[in-house]
Amino acid sequence: MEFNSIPFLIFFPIVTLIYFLMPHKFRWIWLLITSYFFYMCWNAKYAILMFFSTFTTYSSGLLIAKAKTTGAKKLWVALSFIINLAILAVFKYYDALIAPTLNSLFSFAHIGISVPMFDLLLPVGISFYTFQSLSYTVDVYRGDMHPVKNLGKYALFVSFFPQLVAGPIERTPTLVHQFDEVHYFDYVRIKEGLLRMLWGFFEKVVIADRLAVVVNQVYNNYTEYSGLTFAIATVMFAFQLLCDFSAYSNIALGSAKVMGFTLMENFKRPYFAKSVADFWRRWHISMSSWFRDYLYFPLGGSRGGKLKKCRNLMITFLVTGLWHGATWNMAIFGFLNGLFQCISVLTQSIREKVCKLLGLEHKAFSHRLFQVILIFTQFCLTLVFVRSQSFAQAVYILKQALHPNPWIFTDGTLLTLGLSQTEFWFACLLIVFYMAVQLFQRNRSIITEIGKQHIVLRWMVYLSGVMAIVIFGAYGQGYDAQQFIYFQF
Amino acid sequence: MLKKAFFKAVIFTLLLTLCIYGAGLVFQPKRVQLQPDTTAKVRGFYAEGKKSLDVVFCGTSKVFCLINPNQLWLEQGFTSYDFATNEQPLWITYYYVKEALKYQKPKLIVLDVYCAAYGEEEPRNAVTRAGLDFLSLSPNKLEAALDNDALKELPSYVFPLLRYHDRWSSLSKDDYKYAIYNAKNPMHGYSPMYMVNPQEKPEGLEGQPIGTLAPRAEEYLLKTIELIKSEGVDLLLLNTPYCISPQSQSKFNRVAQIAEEQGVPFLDCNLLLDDIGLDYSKDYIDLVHTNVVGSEKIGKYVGDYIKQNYTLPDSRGNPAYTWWEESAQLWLNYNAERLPTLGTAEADEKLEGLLL
Repeated sequence: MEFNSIPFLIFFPIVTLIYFLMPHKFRWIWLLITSYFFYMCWNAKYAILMFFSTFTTYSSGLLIAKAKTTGAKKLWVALSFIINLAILAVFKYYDALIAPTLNSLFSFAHIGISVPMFDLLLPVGISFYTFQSLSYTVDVYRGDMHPVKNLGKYALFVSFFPQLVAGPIERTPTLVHQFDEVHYFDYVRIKEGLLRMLWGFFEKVVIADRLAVVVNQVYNNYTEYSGLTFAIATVMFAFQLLCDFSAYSNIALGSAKVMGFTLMENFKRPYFAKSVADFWRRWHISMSSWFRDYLYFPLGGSRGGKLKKCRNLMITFLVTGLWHGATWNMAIFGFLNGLFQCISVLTQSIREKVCKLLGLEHKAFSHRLFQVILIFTQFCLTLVFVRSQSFAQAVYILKQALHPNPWIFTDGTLLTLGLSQTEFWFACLLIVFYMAVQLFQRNRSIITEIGKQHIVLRWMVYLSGVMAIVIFGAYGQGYDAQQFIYFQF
Repeated sequence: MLKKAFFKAVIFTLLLTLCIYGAGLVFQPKRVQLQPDTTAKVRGFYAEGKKSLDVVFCGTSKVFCLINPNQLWLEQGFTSYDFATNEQPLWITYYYVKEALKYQKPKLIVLDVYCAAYGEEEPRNAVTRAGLDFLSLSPNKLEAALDNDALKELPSYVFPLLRYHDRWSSLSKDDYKYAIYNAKNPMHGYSPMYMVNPQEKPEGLEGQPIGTLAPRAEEYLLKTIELIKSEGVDLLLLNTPYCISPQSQSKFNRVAQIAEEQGVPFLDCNLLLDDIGLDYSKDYIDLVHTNVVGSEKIGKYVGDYIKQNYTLPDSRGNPAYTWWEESAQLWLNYNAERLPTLGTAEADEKLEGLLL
């Protein structure tokens, strides 16, 4: 059941209505049942897998708390990690990456061994719930969290439907206690939650799915295009990816808010980032902070000098890349992002000296704009590997992009990208609109601002929002409901 | 607070529904560019006024290109309407007949059986949409939609915006101008054609065996006959003349057999070509449609047949029928102006303003 589907538009109001009608004491049971139902709509069998992850991490929490020695605690942590990461490795990486790579290596070395493939279907959201439940093991080990006694409530923490299949990746200290809170029917809160969901739907079906038409056309037929067309498609992919994922997070946060739950913010205007580190503090925050807290810091973080910091960064980003997808292109995506951050760390003092020498003012608009464009361009470069089907395709596109052909804007090439001229410029306008909204939200919330307005204006905004989705949304005949991109991660 | 929130939610939902419905009227494609386009025909049927028609012709373009209600009025004195759309299969015509019975309760329904020869079981979406989009919203329309389209498409027959929202980048002036279309149709559903494309007269139609109809076509033919009979309305099955092959004629022989079994008259014009007097070298625009000259000959023959076999009033001169006098005059003027273009390059299918 996807958020942008009719079943969810029926499921959510029913779940919410019954949730508010139920006695507080039993609400978590209702949410647990509906969350498992939500998950089982994809693949009922894989609910067992999710429960297994839940059970192992839940048990690890209890065992760690009971363990007397640090060694024993460490053992339980290791066991929990080994079991869960092994499941992840088998279901996500074995068929897609491990087996083909081993077979290629054996074949290259003329060794007559062939590793079998299992043809396993990737369980939806496995990367998300595995990491969410593993964070619990570490939190109990570190003493940040008392073990959760109630298996049902812990199972709800792992499976809570708004954030189950594509995040945000929540932490036990911030979410579990909310299942014991009493959430009343609060009109303002519900309205704000619904508005957030509305914005999410707009991002998904109006912006992301429209940009997807151009991106798919160019990347799926890349030999037919050249030069700046790839730049256009890649920039559009950058916004498709952001809108798609931010849409999922907004619908997740909005639907949780309707029921009274607060989930963590996942995106904070990432394309306004002024450095690579800043970018990763704004992009998919729940994931990048997970890697920061449970991988980068344990590796030593920035302690021990610049070189060690760079080593830790490279490891963290490589894993981040592979977390996103079981392909070598994703590893390259992670590698490049790590590399850019290392370059940034290693050249910091030189860059500062150059700025001083040239008299460049850090706070000047032009300087900040340059930084924003530079960081966005770097990210776009790495996205070529994310969207390309193969390494060769990514290299072809990057090579081709070196041959600028500005005539494509006037010779009709733009009309071959899958959208009519009006639709193409409308898509560009949507990007500008999206950035304007992001800019507006720099130090205030647009939802709160709308809430302050007179009812006539407020309702006009709400109606326009829904109408914009109904009219401009990519759905119905001619469109298959596009899956959220992050589902594959 | 709960009460207030509920009240607000209801008002908001009502407003939103209104907006989505209203926008749908604009976004729904207006089929008003060419003579055979359906918007003016279907909406014009409702604009005729309840129980004002003596005869309703239901079926395909082989009704609305070949039968001219203004001619029937001028020659026979009864009122009629071509309540038909392009390539309409019998499984849609059934619902048109239901609509005709509900709004008009005519004395006679003439059912065009051309589509009985269709082998196509699955309705084509464009044909279904052209047929159903402009029917007034009613349980009958929804039943027709359920019968001819996927369940998930049903909401789009109530709110056309859900189906046509992606037309936002190609909306024309007509889409706004005719968003609400309730104009009377002075042609009463007829589409006069002025092109000439010589055809060959079909031969060897006599003595063909009795063929079989596609199961769905036969099912709906029988359902329609039963429906009309149950309402106590007279029924005439009609197959207007076209360049038919002997193989296809065998299907109409099956229709004749059904008509006999059901005790319903069937006028198979392909077997009456000599009586009608069509000139295949001058009277056709393509294999199945005649131009105004051909349609006049068919109209005369069918009109005479109806007049002789059914008791229908002659309302000419009745002051209550001024609309029919006016529309007949409009038709005569229009035809006088267009007839000199017959067979020339100017004789295209574009509407010349009369229907709008």
